Amino acid sequence: MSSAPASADHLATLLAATGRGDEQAFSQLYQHSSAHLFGLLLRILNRRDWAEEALQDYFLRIWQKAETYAPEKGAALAWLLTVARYRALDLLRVKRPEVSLLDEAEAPAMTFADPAENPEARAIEQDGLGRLSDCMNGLQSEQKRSVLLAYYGGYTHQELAQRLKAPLGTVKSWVRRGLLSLRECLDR
Amino acid sequence: MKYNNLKLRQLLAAEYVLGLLRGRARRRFERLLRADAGLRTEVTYWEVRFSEFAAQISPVAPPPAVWLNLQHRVQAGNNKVVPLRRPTTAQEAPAPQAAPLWRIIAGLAAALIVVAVIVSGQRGARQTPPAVATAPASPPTPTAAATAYVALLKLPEATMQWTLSLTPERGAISVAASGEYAQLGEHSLELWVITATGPVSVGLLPVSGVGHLKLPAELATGETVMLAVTLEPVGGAPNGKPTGPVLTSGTAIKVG
Repeated sequence: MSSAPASADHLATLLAATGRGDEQAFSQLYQHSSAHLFGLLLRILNRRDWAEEALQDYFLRIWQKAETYAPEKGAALAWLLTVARYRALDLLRVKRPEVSLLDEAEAPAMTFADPAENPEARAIEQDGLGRLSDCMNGLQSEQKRSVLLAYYGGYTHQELAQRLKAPLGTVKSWVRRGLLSLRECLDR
Repeated sequence: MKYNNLKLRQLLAAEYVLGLLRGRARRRFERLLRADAGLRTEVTYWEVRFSEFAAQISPVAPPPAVWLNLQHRVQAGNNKVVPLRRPTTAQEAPAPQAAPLWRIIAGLAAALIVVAVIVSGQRGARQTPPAVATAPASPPTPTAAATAYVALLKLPEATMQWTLSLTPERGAISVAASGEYAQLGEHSLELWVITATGPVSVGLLPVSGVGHLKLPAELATGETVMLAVTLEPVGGAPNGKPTGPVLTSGTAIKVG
């Protein structure tokens, strides 16, 4: 993390200034991060109105200091995305009964975008991380699908079992074995 | 479960970050998390690594109404420049009137799409919406395809509405008013352009007929222009900053 990219530095500075009540910084923070956050919220919530509501509530929480960033929590954009995802999962837990799970056809792509086309993703990779895609590709396909559906869809073990048409115990072990292999690969 | 097993701790942290721990298991993990710095490090480890999934999702620009509403709420909570209908004493509490305003803005955004479609459909014939097409005093110049924006602003719980056509290159806004606003009393209705640095006054809106306002060109750039209408003392806000409630707001959309 010694040489964080300029954009990440910039977001961290904006987050710090926002924490001091700087409206201008807050506006810039929104300009520079809202499209990434909105893309993520849309993907998880799968409904535009909820994603808009979640985005607005999230930025309001940041403004009201209900969410506070510290550099030890990782790069600024990574942190913004992580907390936004948690808030989206909270919303899903409340609203889930209304949600029909994604159809197989709509399920998140199992391939990864080219990082060259996505400077922010590259910025996170430059953080000395960026091995996730490689390591994910080393997983067995059912393990990989389970992890991705949990990440992008907020699926529970039961929902995964339903979606993947497999017994609960089998799905739990796919997840666990997948996560353990992932960890081994990431630490290598 | 034994929490002293390293692999198990790593696994539970990953499942927690993914959102797979629910109910009692989740609460128990969170209790442990508060007391166990090592476990927090495991959680951060996965948060940072999994954020790579999130960073790979294509960005999608949110609708301007989200920012407009946020800005409104920030200013309402911060310095009371734009008070909400019910004054609140709690500084940090979320603005209680937010949901209704949000619905208004969302509805307005839908209405704007209709206006944009209608106007763009008519572009071959006219450059401005029909309601104001006859208004400009200067003769229309068919060759100059100046950038134009249109907006429809409606007051909630009233019939009053304005169709606005913005032509920044000519520094002009044409406004056509219709309907009524019974609660106006001894007040003026002021139009603002919402910029990154805050609202900038454009002028007073007519309550009937057609009017013209001046629009500094630098205020209207990009694909959309955010507008708001406030209730002000007769003659407008005295210091160039909104003093009354925001009655409505909306986005002008580029049509040419």
